[in-house]
Amino acid sequence: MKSFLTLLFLLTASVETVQAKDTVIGGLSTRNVSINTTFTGSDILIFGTIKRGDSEEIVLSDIIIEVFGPKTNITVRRKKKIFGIWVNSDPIKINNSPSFYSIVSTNKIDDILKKSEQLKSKIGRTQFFESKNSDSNYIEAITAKLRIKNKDGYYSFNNPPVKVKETSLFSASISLPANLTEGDYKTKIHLIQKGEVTNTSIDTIRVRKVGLERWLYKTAHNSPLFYGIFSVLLALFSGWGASTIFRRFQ
Amino acid sequence: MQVYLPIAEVSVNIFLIIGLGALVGILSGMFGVGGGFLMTPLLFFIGIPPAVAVATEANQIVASSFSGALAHFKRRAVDLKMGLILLLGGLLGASVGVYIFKILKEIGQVELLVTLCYVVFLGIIGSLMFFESLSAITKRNSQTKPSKIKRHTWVHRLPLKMRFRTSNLYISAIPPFFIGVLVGILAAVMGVGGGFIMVPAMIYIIGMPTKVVIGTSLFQIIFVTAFTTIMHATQNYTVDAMLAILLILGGVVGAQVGVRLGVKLRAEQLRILLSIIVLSVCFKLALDLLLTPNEYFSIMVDVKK
Repeated sequence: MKSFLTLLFLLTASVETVQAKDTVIGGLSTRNVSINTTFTGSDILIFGTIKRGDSEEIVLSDIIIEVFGPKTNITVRRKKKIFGIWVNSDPIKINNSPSFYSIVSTNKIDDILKKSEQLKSKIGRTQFFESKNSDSNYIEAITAKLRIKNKDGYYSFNNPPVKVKETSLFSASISLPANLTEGDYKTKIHLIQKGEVTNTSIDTIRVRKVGLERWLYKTAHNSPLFYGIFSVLLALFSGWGASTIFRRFQ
Repeated sequence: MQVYLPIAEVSVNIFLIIGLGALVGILSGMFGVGGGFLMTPLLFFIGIPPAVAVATEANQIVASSFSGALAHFKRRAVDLKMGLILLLGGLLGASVGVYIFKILKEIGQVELLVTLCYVVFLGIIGSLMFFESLSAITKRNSQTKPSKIKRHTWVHRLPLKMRFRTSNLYISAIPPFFIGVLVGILAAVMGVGGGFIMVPAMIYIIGMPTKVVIGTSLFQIIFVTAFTTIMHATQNYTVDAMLAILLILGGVVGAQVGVRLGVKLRAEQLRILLSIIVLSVCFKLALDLLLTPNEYFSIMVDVKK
Protein backbone atom coordinates (compact mmCIF):
# COMPACT_ATOMS: atom_id res chain seq x y z
CA MET A 1 0.00 0.00 0.00
CA LYS A 2 2.81 2.34 0.95
CA SER A 3 4.68 1.65 -2.24
CA PHE A 4 1.52 2.15 -4.27
CA LEU A 5 1.06 5.59 -2.74
CA THR A 6 4.65 6.49 -3.48
CA LEU A 7 4.18 5.42 -7.09
CA LEU A 8 0.99 7.47 -7.35
CA PHE A 9 2.81 10.48 -5.92
CA LEU A 10 5.68 10.09 -8.34
CA LEU A 11 3.30 9.78 -11.28
CA THR A 12 1.38 12.94 -10.40
CA ALA A 13 4.64 14.76 -9.75
CA SER A 14 6.01 13.84 -13.16
CA VAL A 15 2.77 14.87 -14.87
CA GLU A 16 3.02 18.25 -13.19
CA THR A 17 6.67 18.62 -14.25
CA VAL A 18 5.61 18.20 -17.85
CA GLN A 19 3.04 20.95 -17.47
CA ALA A 20 5.47 23.54 -16.04
CA LYS A 21 9.01 22.31 -15.84
CA ASP A 22 11.86 23.90 -13.97
CA THR A 23 13.78 26.11 -16.37
CA VAL A 24 17.13 27.81 -16.42
CA ILE A 25 17.53 31.50 -17.14
CA GLY A 26 21.02 32.55 -18.06
CA GLY A 27 22.97 35.75 -18.52
CA LEU A 28 26.42 36.87 -19.65
CA SER A 29 28.63 39.61 -18.29
CA THR A 30 29.28 40.62 -21.89
CA ARG A 31 28.01 39.59 -25.30
CA ASN A 32 30.81 41.34 -27.20
CA VAL A 33 34.52 40.66 -26.89
CA SER A 34 36.75 43.03 -28.85
CA ILE A 35 40.19 41.91 -29.94
CA ASN A 36 42.23 45.08 -30.10
CA THR A 37 45.99 45.57 -30.24
CA THR A 38 46.47 45.08 -26.51
CA PHE A 39 44.08 42.12 -26.17
CA THR A 40 45.39 39.61 -23.61
CA GLY A 41 42.37 37.39 -23.16
CA SER A 42 39.06 37.97 -21.47
CA ASP A 43 37.09 36.55 -18.56
CA ILE A 44 33.40 36.05 -19.17
CA LEU A 45 31.02 35.68 -16.24
CA ILE A 46 28.15 33.36 -17.01
CA PHE A 47 25.37 33.46 -14.44
CA GLY A 48 21.73 32.61 -14.02
CA THR A 49 18.98 31.20 -11.93
CA ILE A 50 16.86 28.09 -11.86
CA LYS A 51 13.22 29.06 -12.21
CA ARG A 52 11.05 26.60 -10.33
CA GLY A 53 8.08 25.16 -12.16
CA ASP A 54 4.70 24.35 -10.66
CA SER A 55 5.96 21.15 -9.09
CA GLU A 56 5.70 20.86 -5.32
CA GLU A 57 8.67 18.55 -5.30
CA ILE A 58 12.05 20.23 -4.97
CA VAL A 59 14.29 18.29 -7.34
CA LEU A 60 18.04 18.35 -6.78
CA SER A 61 19.40 20.39 -9.68
CA ASP A 62 22.82 20.66 -11.24
CA ILE A 63 24.17 23.03 -13.84
CA ILE A 64 26.56 22.32 -16.71
CA ILE A 65 27.86 25.25 -18.76
CA GLU A 66 29.56 24.79 -22.12
CA VAL A 67 31.22 27.39 -24.34
CA PHE A 68 32.05 26.58 -27.98
CA GLY A 69 34.38 28.58 -30.22
CA PRO A 70 33.70 28.95 -33.96
CA LYS A 71 33.93 25.67 -35.85
CA THR A 72 36.84 25.01 -38.18
CA ASN A 73 38.07 22.07 -40.19
CA ILE A 74 41.40 20.83 -38.96
CA THR A 75 43.97 18.25 -39.95
CA VAL A 76 45.76 16.17 -37.36
CA ARG A 77 49.12 14.69 -38.35
CA ARG A 78 51.32 12.17 -36.63
CA LYS A 79 55.11 12.45 -36.67
CA LYS A 80 56.90 9.46 -38.12
CA LYS A 81 60.59 8.77 -38.38
CA ILE A 82 61.62 8.74 -42.05
CA PHE A 83 65.34 8.52 -42.94
CA GLY A 84 66.22 9.44 -39.37
CA ILE A 85 64.17 12.61 -39.17
CA TRP A 86 60.68 13.20 -37.79
CA VAL A 87 58.21 13.98 -40.54
CA ASN A 88 54.50 14.84 -40.32
CA SER A 89 52.47 12.06 -41.91
CA ASP A 90 49.12 10.22 -41.83
CA PRO A 91 46.88 13.30 -42.09
CA ILE A 92 43.40 12.85 -40.61
CA LYS A 93 40.74 15.47 -41.24
CA ILE A 94 38.38 16.45 -38.44
CA ASN A 95 35.49 18.63 -39.60
CA ASN A 96 33.56 21.19 -37.53
CA SER A 97 35.95 21.12 -34.63
CA PRO A 98 35.35 24.04 -32.23
CA SER A 99 38.43 26.25 -31.96
CA PHE A 100 37.67 26.71 -28.27
CA TYR A 101 35.77 24.58 -25.76
CA SER A 102 35.19 24.93 -22.07
CA ILE A 103 32.91 22.96 -19.80
CA VAL A 104 32.19 23.73 -16.15
CA SER A 105 29.63 22.23 -13.79
CA THR A 106 28.37 22.21 -10.23
CA ASN A 107 29.50 18.62 -9.65
CA LYS A 108 31.59 16.07 -11.52
CA ILE A 109 29.88 15.50 -14.85
CA ASP A 110 29.97 11.70 -14.58
CA ASP A 111 28.23 11.93 -11.18
CA ILE A 112 25.35 14.11 -12.34
CA LEU A 113 24.77 13.02 -15.94
CA LYS A 114 24.47 9.43 -17.14
CA LYS A 115 27.01 8.35 -19.80
CA SER A 116 24.22 7.53 -22.23
CA GLU A 117 22.72 10.96 -21.64
CA GLN A 118 26.09 12.66 -22.19
CA LEU A 119 26.26 10.95 -25.55
CA LYS A 120 22.63 11.69 -26.46
CA SER A 121 22.76 15.37 -25.50
CA LYS A 122 26.31 15.77 -26.87
CA ILE A 123 27.70 17.16 -23.65
CA GLY A 124 31.31 16.96 -22.52
CA ARG A 125 34.21 14.89 -23.83
CA THR A 126 32.02 12.26 -25.47
CA GLN A 127 30.63 14.68 -28.09
CA PHE A 128 34.04 14.89 -29.77
CA PHE A 129 34.06 11.16 -30.39
CA GLU A 130 30.46 11.12 -31.55
CA SER A 131 30.84 9.90 -35.11
CA LYS A 132 30.14 6.95 -37.33
CA ASN A 133 33.86 6.65 -37.70
CA SER A 134 35.17 4.22 -35.11
CA ASP A 135 38.51 3.68 -36.86
CA SER A 136 41.31 3.44 -34.28
CA ASN A 137 43.47 6.03 -36.11
CA TYR A 138 40.59 8.48 -36.12
CA ILE A 139 39.96 8.01 -32.40
CA GLU A 140 43.67 8.41 -31.73
CA ALA A 141 43.70 11.65 -33.73
CA ILE A 142 40.75 13.02 -31.76
CA THR A 143 42.36 12.05 -28.45
CA ALA A 144 45.53 13.86 -29.59
CA LYS A 145 43.50 16.91 -30.58
CA LEU A 146 41.87 17.09 -27.14
CA ARG A 147 45.25 16.65 -25.45
CA ILE A 148 47.01 19.36 -27.49
CA LYS A 149 44.10 21.81 -27.30
CA ASN A 150 43.93 21.25 -23.55
CA LYS A 151 47.67 21.82 -23.13
CA ASP A 152 47.57 24.99 -25.23
CA GLY A 153 44.68 26.37 -23.16
CA TYR A 154 42.00 26.19 -25.84
CA TYR A 155 40.03 23.34 -24.30
CA SER A 156 39.27 23.01 -20.64
CA PHE A 157 37.24 20.46 -18.79
CA ASN A 158 35.58 21.33 -15.49
CA ASN A 159 37.87 24.04 -14.30
CA PRO A 160 36.91 26.19 -12.42
CA PRO A 161 33.54 24.81 -11.28
CA VAL A 162 30.18 26.52 -11.19
CA LYS A 163 29.43 28.26 -7.88
CA VAL A 164 25.94 27.99 -6.41
CA LYS A 165 24.25 30.51 -4.12
CA GLU A 166 20.97 30.02 -2.25
CA THR A 167 20.26 26.78 -4.13
CA SER A 168 19.01 28.47 -7.32
CA LEU A 169 21.55 31.15 -8.24
CA PHE A 170 24.68 30.08 -10.05
CA SER A 171 27.69 31.67 -11.69
CA ALA A 172 30.92 30.61 -13.42
CA SER A 173 33.85 32.43 -14.92
CA ILE A 174 35.22 31.30 -18.27
CA SER A 175 38.62 32.53 -19.44
CA LEU A 176 39.09 33.18 -23.13
CA PRO A 177 42.80 32.95 -24.01
CA ALA A 178 44.88 35.74 -25.58
CA ASN A 179 45.40 33.86 -28.84
CA LEU A 180 41.73 33.91 -29.69
CA THR A 181 40.03 33.11 -32.99
CA GLU A 182 37.44 35.59 -34.20
CA GLY A 183 33.82 34.46 -34.48
CA ASP A 184 30.65 33.63 -32.60
CA TYR A 185 31.12 31.75 -29.33
CA LYS A 186 28.05 29.76 -28.35
CA THR A 187 27.23 29.28 -24.68
CA LYS A 188 24.93 26.53 -23.44
CA ILE A 189 23.60 26.34 -19.87
CA HIS A 190 22.13 22.91 -19.15
CA LEU A 191 19.85 22.19 -16.24
CA ILE A 192 20.47 18.65 -14.99
CA GLN A 193 17.91 16.83 -12.89
CA LYS A 194 17.84 13.15 -11.99
CA GLY A 195 20.70 12.40 -14.35
CA GLU A 196 19.07 13.97 -17.38
CA VAL A 197 19.15 17.27 -19.23
CA THR A 198 15.78 18.91 -18.56
CA ASN A 199 16.36 22.38 -19.97
CA THR A 200 19.02 24.28 -21.94
CA SER A 201 19.53 28.01 -22.37
CA ILE A 202 21.61 29.07 -25.39
CA ASP A 203 23.35 32.39 -25.93
CA THR A 204 26.12 33.85 -28.11
CA ILE A 205 29.25 35.87 -27.39
CA ARG A 206 30.47 37.83 -30.41
CA VAL A 207 34.29 37.87 -30.57
CA ARG A 208 35.50 40.41 -33.09
CA LYS A 209 38.76 42.06 -34.04
CA VAL A 210 38.37 45.83 -33.82
CA GLY A 211 40.21 48.93 -34.97
CA LEU A 212 43.64 48.41 -36.52
CA GLU A 213 43.51 44.64 -35.97
CA ARG A 214 40.24 44.42 -37.89
CA TRP A 215 41.43 46.66 -40.70
CA LEU A 216 44.69 44.71 -41.19
CA TYR A 217 42.98 41.32 -41.07
CA LYS A 218 40.14 42.31 -43.42
CA THR A 219 42.49 43.98 -45.89
CA ALA A 220 44.89 41.02 -45.88
CA HIS A 221 42.05 38.68 -46.80
CA ASN A 222 39.78 40.84 -48.96
CA SER A 223 42.34 42.81 -50.97
CA PRO A 224 45.58 40.81 -50.63
CA LEU A 225 47.34 42.58 -53.51
CA PHE A 226 46.74 46.01 -52.00
CA TYR A 227 47.78 44.67 -48.58
CA GLY A 228 51.01 43.22 -50.01
CA ILE A 229 51.91 46.47 -51.78
CA PHE A 230 50.96 48.42 -48.65
CA SER A 231 53.28 46.24 -46.53
CA VAL A 232 56.16 46.76 -48.97
CA LEU A 233 55.64 50.54 -49.10
CA LEU A 234 55.50 50.66 -45.32
CA ALA A 235 58.83 48.79 -45.17
CA LEU A 236 60.44 51.01 -47.84
CA PHE A 237 59.28 54.12 -46.01
CA SER A 238 60.64 52.91 -42.66
CA GLY A 239 63.93 51.85 -44.28
CA TRP A 240 64.30 55.27 -45.87
CA GLY A 241 63.21 57.03 -42.66
CA ALA A 242 65.70 55.10 -40.56
CA SER A 243 68.67 55.89 -42.76
CA THR A 244 67.67 59.57 -42.99
CA ILE A 245 67.25 59.97 -39.22
CA PHE A 246 70.54 58.27 -38.45
CA ARG A 247 72.43 60.35 -41.01
CA ARG A 248 71.21 63.48 -39.19
CA PHE A 249 72.73 62.20 -35.96
CA GLN A 250 76.10 61.46 -37.48
CA MET B 1 53.06 44.84 -22.65
CA GLN B 2 51.32 42.35 -24.91
CA VAL B 3 50.38 43.02 -28.51
CA TYR B 4 47.96 40.93 -30.56
CA LEU B 5 49.23 40.12 -34.05
CA PRO B 6 46.24 40.16 -36.41
CA ILE B 7 47.51 37.68 -39.02
CA ALA B 8 49.57 35.35 -36.82
CA GLU B 9 46.64 35.44 -34.34
CA VAL B 10 48.98 35.21 -31.38
CA SER B 11 49.55 37.63 -28.56
CA VAL B 12 53.21 38.44 -28.01
CA ASN B 13 55.24 40.71 -25.76
CA ILE B 14 55.96 43.90 -27.69
CA PHE B 15 59.37 44.38 -26.05
CA LEU B 16 60.39 40.81 -26.87
CA ILE B 17 59.68 41.43 -30.57
CA ILE B 18 61.38 44.84 -30.69
CA GLY B 19 64.25 43.34 -28.67
CA LEU B 20 64.66 40.45 -31.12
CA GLY B 21 64.58 42.96 -34.00
CA ALA B 22 67.27 45.01 -32.25
CA LEU B 23 69.43 41.97 -31.41
CA VAL B 24 69.41 40.68 -34.98
CA GLY B 25 69.83 44.28 -36.15
CA ILE B 26 73.00 44.62 -34.04
CA LEU B 27 74.36 41.38 -35.49
CA SER B 28 73.53 42.42 -39.04
CA GLY B 29 75.11 45.82 -38.49
CA MET B 30 78.24 44.21 -37.03
CA PHE B 31 78.64 41.52 -39.66
CA GLY B 32 77.07 43.18 -42.69
CA VAL B 33 74.54 40.40 -43.15
CA GLY B 34 70.77 40.73 -43.59
CA GLY B 35 69.96 38.70 -40.52
CA GLY B 36 66.91 36.98 -42.02
CA PHE B 37 68.54 33.59 -41.52
CA LEU B 38 68.68 34.29 -37.77
CA MET B 39 65.40 36.15 -37.36
CA THR B 40 63.14 33.58 -39.02
CA PRO B 41 64.22 30.67 -36.74
CA LEU B 42 64.02 32.97 -33.70
CA LEU B 43 60.43 33.77 -34.67
CA PHE B 44 59.70 30.01 -34.82
CA PHE B 45 61.19 29.63 -31.34
CA ILE B 46 58.86 32.25 -29.81
CA GLY B 47 55.77 30.62 -31.32
CA ILE B 48 55.03 32.56 -34.51
CA PRO B 49 53.56 30.11 -37.07
CA PRO B 50 56.37 29.26 -39.57
CA ALA B 51 54.34 30.35 -42.60
CA VAL B 52 53.78 33.80 -41.04
CA ALA B 53 57.39 34.05 -39.85
CA VAL B 54 58.81 33.41 -43.34
CA ALA B 55 56.47 35.82 -45.16
CA THR B 56 56.77 38.59 -42.57
CA GLU B 57 60.56 38.32 -42.43
CA ALA B 58 60.67 38.87 -46.20
CA ASN B 59 58.76 42.09 -45.55
CA GLN B 60 61.22 43.20 -42.87
CA ILE B 61 64.18 42.59 -45.18
CA VAL B 62 62.65 45.03 -47.70
CA ALA B 63 63.16 47.73 -45.06
CA SER B 64 66.65 46.75 -43.94
CA SER B 65 68.01 46.19 -47.45
CA PHE B 66 66.51 49.46 -48.71
CA SER B 67 68.08 51.31 -45.80
CA GLY B 68 71.45 49.69 -46.59
CA ALA B 69 71.24 50.09 -50.36
CA LEU B 70 70.65 53.86 -50.10
CA ALA B 71 74.11 54.30 -48.61
CA HIS B 72 75.70 52.19 -51.38
CA PHE B 73 73.82 54.13 -54.10
CA LYS B 74 75.29 57.36 -52.79
CA ARG B 75 78.79 55.86 -53.17
CA ARG B 76 77.89 54.52 -56.67
CA ALA B 77 78.78 51.05 -55.46
CA VAL B 78 75.91 49.34 -57.30
CA ASP B 79 76.28 47.50 -60.63
CA LEU B 80 72.75 48.12 -61.97
CA LYS B 81 73.11 45.91 -65.07
CA MET B 82 74.36 42.97 -63.04
CA GLY B 83 71.71 43.72 -60.43
CA LEU B 84 68.96 43.57 -63.06
CA ILE B 85 70.09 40.16 -64.34
CA LEU B 86 70.30 38.81 -60.78
CA LEU B 87 66.87 40.33 -60.22
CA LEU B 88 65.31 38.66 -63.29
CA GLY B 89 66.49 35.31 -61.98
CA GLY B 90 65.39 36.27 -58.49
CA LEU B 91 61.82 37.04 -59.54
CA LEU B 92 61.56 33.70 -61.35
CA GLY B 93 63.02 31.91 -58.34
CA ALA B 94 60.71 33.67 -55.89
CA SER B 95 57.62 32.71 -57.92
CA VAL B 96 58.74 29.09 -57.93
CA GLY B 97 59.54 29.30 -54.20
CA VAL B 98 56.16 30.74 -53.19
CA TYR B 99 54.43 28.09 -55.32
CA ILE B 100 56.41 25.28 -53.63
CA PHE B 101 55.61 26.89 -50.28
CA LYS B 102 51.88 26.99 -51.04
CA ILE B 103 51.75 23.31 -52.01
CA LEU B 104 53.71 22.24 -48.95
CA LYS B 105 51.54 24.41 -46.71
CA GLU B 106 48.48 22.58 -48.01
CA ILE B 107 49.96 19.15 -47.33
CA GLY B 108 51.31 20.25 -43.94
CA GLN B 109 55.03 19.96 -44.69
CA VAL B 110 56.05 23.63 -44.66
CA GLU B 111 57.66 23.37 -41.26
CA LEU B 112 59.76 20.40 -42.34
CA LEU B 113 60.90 22.04 -45.60
CA VAL B 114 61.81 25.32 -43.92
CA THR B 115 63.62 23.61 -41.04
CA LEU B 116 65.51 21.28 -43.40
CA CYS B 117 66.59 24.21 -45.58
CA TYR B 118 67.79 26.05 -42.50
CA VAL B 119 69.71 23.10 -41.09
CA VAL B 120 71.44 22.46 -44.42
CA PHE B 121 72.27 26.08 -45.26
CA LEU B 122 73.14 27.26 -41.76
CA GLY B 123 75.26 24.14 -41.31
CA ILE B 124 77.22 24.70 -44.53
CA ILE B 125 77.62 28.47 -44.16
CA GLY B 126 78.40 28.26 -40.44
CA SER B 127 81.12 25.62 -40.83
CA LEU B 128 82.68 27.33 -43.88
CA MET B 129 82.81 30.62 -42.04
CA PHE B 130 84.16 29.03 -38.90
CA PHE B 131 87.05 27.21 -40.60
CA GLU B 132 87.80 30.07 -42.96
CA SER B 133 88.14 32.60 -40.16
CA LEU B 134 90.13 30.10 -38.07
CA SER B 135 92.62 29.65 -40.90
CA ALA B 136 92.63 33.43 -41.49
CA ILE B 137 93.71 33.92 -37.90
CA THR B 138 96.48 31.31 -38.14
CA LYS B 139 97.57 32.62 -41.56
CA ARG B 140 97.89 36.13 -40.26
CA ASN B 141 100.03 34.84 -37.46
CA SER B 142 102.36 33.06 -39.92
CA GLN B 143 102.41 36.14 -42.23
CA THR B 144 101.39 34.39 -45.49
CA LYS B 145 99.50 36.27 -48.16
CA PRO B 146 96.09 34.92 -49.30
CA SER B 147 96.24 33.29 -52.75
CA LYS B 148 94.81 35.27 -55.64
CA ILE B 149 91.47 34.19 -57.15
CA LYS B 150 91.78 32.54 -60.55
CA ARG B 151 90.60 34.94 -63.24
CA HIS B 152 89.64 32.41 -65.91
CA THR B 153 87.23 29.60 -65.03
CA TRP B 154 84.43 27.63 -66.71
CA VAL B 155 82.21 30.70 -66.21
CA HIS B 156 84.13 32.55 -68.90
CA ARG B 157 83.46 29.89 -71.56
CA LEU B 158 79.63 30.21 -71.45
CA PRO B 159 77.66 31.95 -74.25
CA LEU B 160 75.51 35.12 -73.99
CA LYS B 161 78.41 37.30 -72.98
CA MET B 162 77.72 40.84 -71.78
CA ARG B 163 79.80 43.78 -70.69
CA PHE B 164 79.36 45.00 -67.11
CA ARG B 165 81.06 48.40 -66.93
CA THR B 166 80.71 49.05 -63.20
CA SER B 167 82.14 45.64 -62.33
CA ASN B 168 84.67 45.85 -65.17
CA LEU B 169 83.68 42.39 -66.41
CA TYR B 170 82.88 40.75 -69.75
CA ILE B 171 81.10 37.49 -68.91
CA SER B 172 78.08 35.36 -69.73
CA ALA B 173 74.70 36.42 -68.28
CA ILE B 174 73.85 32.78 -67.46
CA PRO B 175 75.68 32.39 -64.09
CA PRO B 176 74.27 35.59 -62.55
CA PHE B 177 70.79 34.66 -63.77
CA PHE B 178 70.92 31.22 -62.12
CA ILE B 179 72.44 32.61 -58.93
CA GLY B 180 69.43 34.95 -58.92
CA VAL B 181 67.02 32.02 -59.35
CA LEU B 182 68.58 30.11 -56.44
CA VAL B 183 68.51 33.17 -54.18
CA GLY B 184 64.89 33.88 -55.16
CA ILE B 185 63.80 30.36 -54.20
CA LEU B 186 65.61 30.65 -50.85
CA ALA B 187 64.05 34.07 -50.21
CA ALA B 188 60.56 32.67 -50.68
CA VAL B 189 61.04 29.39 -48.81
CA MET B 190 63.29 30.50 -45.96
CA GLY B 191 62.30 34.14 -45.47
CA VAL B 192 65.84 35.39 -46.02
CA GLY B 193 67.40 37.96 -48.31
CA GLY B 194 69.92 35.42 -49.54
CA GLY B 195 72.92 37.72 -49.24
CA PHE B 196 74.86 34.97 -47.49
CA ILE B 197 74.68 32.87 -50.69
CA MET B 198 74.76 35.68 -53.23
CA VAL B 199 77.77 37.60 -51.90
CA PRO B 200 80.21 34.64 -51.98
CA ALA B 201 78.76 33.55 -55.35
CA MET B 202 79.31 37.02 -56.83
CA ILE B 203 82.89 37.13 -55.60
CA TYR B 204 84.01 33.56 -56.30
CA ILE B 205 81.85 32.50 -59.31
CA ILE B 206 81.19 35.75 -61.18
CA GLY B 207 84.42 37.39 -60.03
CA MET B 208 82.93 40.80 -59.22
CA PRO B 209 85.09 43.36 -57.41
CA THR B 210 84.31 43.35 -53.68
CA LYS B 211 83.48 47.07 -53.56
CA VAL B 212 80.30 46.69 -55.69
CA VAL B 213 79.21 43.29 -54.37
CA ILE B 214 77.30 44.38 -51.25
CA GLY B 215 75.48 47.28 -52.92
CA THR B 216 74.48 45.15 -55.92
CA SER B 217 73.26 42.28 -53.77
CA LEU B 218 71.23 44.69 -51.59
CA PHE B 219 69.73 46.19 -54.75
CA GLN B 220 68.60 42.73 -55.88
CA ILE B 221 67.36 41.79 -52.39
CA ILE B 222 65.05 44.85 -52.12
CA PHE B 223 63.12 43.85 -55.22
CA VAL B 224 63.12 40.10 -54.67
CA THR B 225 61.90 40.39 -51.06
CA ALA B 226 59.31 43.04 -52.06
CA PHE B 227 58.05 40.66 -54.73
CA THR B 228 58.12 37.73 -52.28
CA THR B 229 56.13 39.75 -49.74
CA ILE B 230 53.44 40.53 -52.29
CA MET B 231 53.37 36.91 -53.50
CA HIS B 232 53.03 35.56 -49.94
CA ALA B 233 50.33 38.16 -49.21
CA THR B 234 48.27 37.18 -52.24
CA GLN B 235 48.91 33.41 -52.25
CA ASN B 236 49.17 32.49 -48.57
CA TYR B 237 47.75 35.51 -46.62
CA THR B 238 50.65 35.17 -44.19
CA VAL B 239 52.24 38.64 -44.08
CA ASP B 240 51.70 40.20 -40.64
CA ALA B 241 52.20 43.94 -41.08
CA MET B 242 52.02 44.54 -37.32
CA LEU B 243 54.80 42.03 -36.63
CA ALA B 244 56.86 43.43 -39.51
CA ILE B 245 56.69 47.02 -38.29
CA LEU B 246 57.79 46.01 -34.76
CA LEU B 247 60.71 44.01 -36.16
CA ILE B 248 61.70 46.89 -38.45
CA LEU B 249 61.57 49.32 -35.53
CA GLY B 250 63.96 47.20 -33.47
CA GLY B 251 66.05 46.26 -36.51
CA VAL B 252 66.92 49.74 -37.76
CA VAL B 253 68.05 50.92 -34.34
CA GLY B 254 70.01 47.70 -33.75
CA ALA B 255 71.74 47.91 -37.14
CA GLN B 256 73.10 51.39 -36.38
CA VAL B 257 74.39 50.25 -32.99
CA GLY B 258 75.90 47.16 -34.63
CA VAL B 259 77.80 49.15 -37.25
CA ARG B 260 79.48 51.18 -34.49
CA LEU B 261 80.26 48.08 -32.44
CA GLY B 262 81.63 46.27 -35.50
CA VAL B 263 84.31 48.89 -36.03
CA LYS B 264 85.80 48.10 -32.63
CA LEU B 265 86.20 44.35 -33.24
CA ARG B 266 88.59 42.58 -35.60
CA ALA B 267 87.11 40.99 -38.74
CA GLU B 268 88.21 37.40 -38.00
CA GLN B 269 86.91 37.56 -34.44
CA LEU B 270 83.61 38.90 -35.75
CA ARG B 271 83.32 36.09 -38.25
CA ILE B 272 84.15 33.39 -35.71
CA LEU B 273 81.51 34.85 -33.40
CA LEU B 274 78.92 34.95 -36.19
CA SER B 275 79.73 31.39 -37.27
CA ILE B 276 79.21 30.17 -33.70
CA ILE B 277 75.80 31.89 -33.55
CA VAL B 278 74.84 30.41 -36.93
CA LEU B 279 75.96 26.91 -35.92
CA SER B 280 74.04 27.03 -32.62
CA VAL B 281 70.78 28.01 -34.36
CA CYS B 282 71.45 25.19 -36.84
CA PHE B 283 72.06 22.75 -33.98
CA LYS B 284 68.82 23.72 -32.20
CA LEU B 285 66.80 23.26 -35.38
CA ALA B 286 68.50 19.93 -36.15
CA LEU B 287 67.65 18.64 -32.67
CA ASP B 288 63.95 19.28 -33.33
CA LEU B 289 64.17 17.09 -36.42
CA LEU B 290 66.24 14.32 -34.85
CA LEU B 291 65.08 13.98 -31.25
CA THR B 292 62.02 11.92 -30.40
CA PRO B 293 59.23 14.48 -29.97
CA ASN B 294 57.25 14.81 -26.72
CA GLU B 295 54.08 15.13 -28.73
CA TYR B 296 53.78 12.98 -31.83
CA PHE B 297 50.70 14.75 -33.13
CA SER B 298 50.21 18.23 -34.54
CA ILE B 299 47.07 20.15 -35.46
CA MET B 300 46.66 22.49 -38.40
CA VAL B 301 43.60 24.55 -39.26
CA ASP B 302 42.65 23.96 -42.90
CA VAL B 303 43.07 26.93 -45.21
CA LYS B 304 39.71 28.50 -46.01
CA LYS B 305 39.12 28.72 -49.72
